[in-house]
Amino acid sequence: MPSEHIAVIDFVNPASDAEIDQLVRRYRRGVVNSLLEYLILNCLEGNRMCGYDIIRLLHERFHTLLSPGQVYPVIDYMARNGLVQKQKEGRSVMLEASNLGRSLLKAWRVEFTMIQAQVNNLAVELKTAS
Amino acid sequence: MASSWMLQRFRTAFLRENLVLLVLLTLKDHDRTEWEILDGLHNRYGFTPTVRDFRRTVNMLMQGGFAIAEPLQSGGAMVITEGGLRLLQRLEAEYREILVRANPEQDSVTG
Repeated sequence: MPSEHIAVIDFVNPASDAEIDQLVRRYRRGVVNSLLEYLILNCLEGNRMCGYDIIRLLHERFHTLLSPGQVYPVIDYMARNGLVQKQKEGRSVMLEASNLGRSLLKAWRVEFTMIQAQVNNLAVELKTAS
Repeated sequence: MASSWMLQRFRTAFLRENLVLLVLLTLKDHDRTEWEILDGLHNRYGFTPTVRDFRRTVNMLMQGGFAIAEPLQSGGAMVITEGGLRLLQRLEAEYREILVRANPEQDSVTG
């Protein structure tokens, strides 16, 4: 997979703070998106909410405003796979985690803790080695 | 009961978005070839990024001046730059912040 001939860059133009800020914002948005199902189940643990409430809550927590076009297809996917249940109430559709969703959230929490430990260990090992 | 593919899907999606951070962390104290980086990702996380994702990450780091490549005669390893260290510092802080916000009940601190 790696390239056989890596280009050697003699002159490195240092990235500006603005460029780094932009990369960090993109990183945050990407990570929040990758965790979206987990975060939705987290929001719905013990709470009933509509999709808009979830978007608002995630915005408050992560300062990243997700569009309905990003969130609703994920909710639909989760509903189709039995992770959340939808219930129409007046004009809004209320969501709650199903038993499968709650058990998946528990399993994802364990998995998440393991990943964090692996990343943390890498940071510690590198610090110790230096 | 959560099946293993669901756990694997979660792990892959999260690590994929953290690829830049993981590569920079790997390069922090050691120069490494691309193979060594991939080997480390696979052994440590059971994660193999797609060719496209890995190439895009490496290109972004090189073109952004966050890493440079040693000449092939010297092994062709990637070396983190001052800019790369600055980016790593920011990403690590962001990573910690996201973990705390994603799991408000847990105290997750890197290093």
